[in-house]
Amino acid sequence: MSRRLREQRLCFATGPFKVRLGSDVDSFSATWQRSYASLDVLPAEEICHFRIAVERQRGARRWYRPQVVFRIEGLTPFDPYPLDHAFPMFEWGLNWCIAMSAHDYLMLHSAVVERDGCAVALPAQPGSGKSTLCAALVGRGWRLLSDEFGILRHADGSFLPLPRAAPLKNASIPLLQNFAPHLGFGPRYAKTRKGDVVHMFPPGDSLQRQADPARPRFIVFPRYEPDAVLQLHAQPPEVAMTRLVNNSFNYRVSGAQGFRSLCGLVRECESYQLINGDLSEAVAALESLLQERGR
Amino acid sequence: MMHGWQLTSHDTLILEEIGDCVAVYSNATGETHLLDALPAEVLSCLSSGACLTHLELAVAVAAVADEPWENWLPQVCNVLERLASMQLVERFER
Repeated sequence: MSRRLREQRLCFATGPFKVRLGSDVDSFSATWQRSYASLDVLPAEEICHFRIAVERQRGARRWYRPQVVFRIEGLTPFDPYPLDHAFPMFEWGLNWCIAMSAHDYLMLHSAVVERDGCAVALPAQPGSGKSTLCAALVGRGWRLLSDEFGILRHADGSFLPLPRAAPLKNASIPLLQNFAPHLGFGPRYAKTRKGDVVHMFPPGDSLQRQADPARPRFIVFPRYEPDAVLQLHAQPPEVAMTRLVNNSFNYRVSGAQGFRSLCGLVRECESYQLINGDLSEAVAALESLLQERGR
Repeated sequence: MMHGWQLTSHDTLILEEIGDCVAVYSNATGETHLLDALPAEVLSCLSSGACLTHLELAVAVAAVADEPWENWLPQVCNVLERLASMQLVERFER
């Protein structure tokens, strides 16, 4: 696998997308392989949606504060990162590629997890505790569909998985490592643009089931507030609709099809606002919700 | 000459009930609006391509709301102005 990465011939599927990846950064290759160990590699001749290279910056930067660049189809849309931040750069870069181009789907800024055939979307703005709650649920055995994208398929209204490494930030890192120590975690990346970051690796069963869509059942808008008493309130569908319009990456681009898909999602799901100050309580509340109102 | 109201020219609207509201998508502007019952009923009356005066719309609303049309007239006039500001309806002379 390392050789194919060096030769830019590593092809793999991540959810509905196929990626051709190359890299000459050994530490990146090692972390990528740990994170996606259960992923089936595709033939090197595969036609892919995205052709990505994560490469060392050339020139004097090879020796002085070495940097890494992210290339997509030969273009470099971002400023270089420090070399040892190659893995977060790849993850954010691939997210950007998907958000900018995957308009065959309605994309929500949302984590999505599934248990017993019921998908729960956790749409939220950055800083609301979405990734932390998502990782905690995965630590309790929920299937990870996605930490970042709720990919809604227009044809049948199901969520498509996109199981990827989930970036935990700052105080969430020790919280999750204590809450679910059996999960796989990557190295710590200090002082990224989002603070310190550690990735939770996607569990093997989530990767193996990345072609299995899930039916939406609940939409839960999470909000972490330190020391808050747990609140789980039903949310009227029209409020959920408004929040999801504002939360989507590509609602306006999706036109009437996106409107119909979003209406279908809101009708199919029960919607809730979750305010929590304690991760264990939040997980327990969602497990109770699934037990009482799942189907 | 009287003036009436119609859906904005060259637009087609999609109306979907969402909870207690009606979500409206305008193909012309790409905007989504959440409307309560009265504006949604007014749009529904106009959605077949009809061109109606505010009096005719008040009568149509009264027919489904089981109240005299005179009670509805001021509200219908307000609603039409609001819908016009959203570019969902426009005046026409007849």
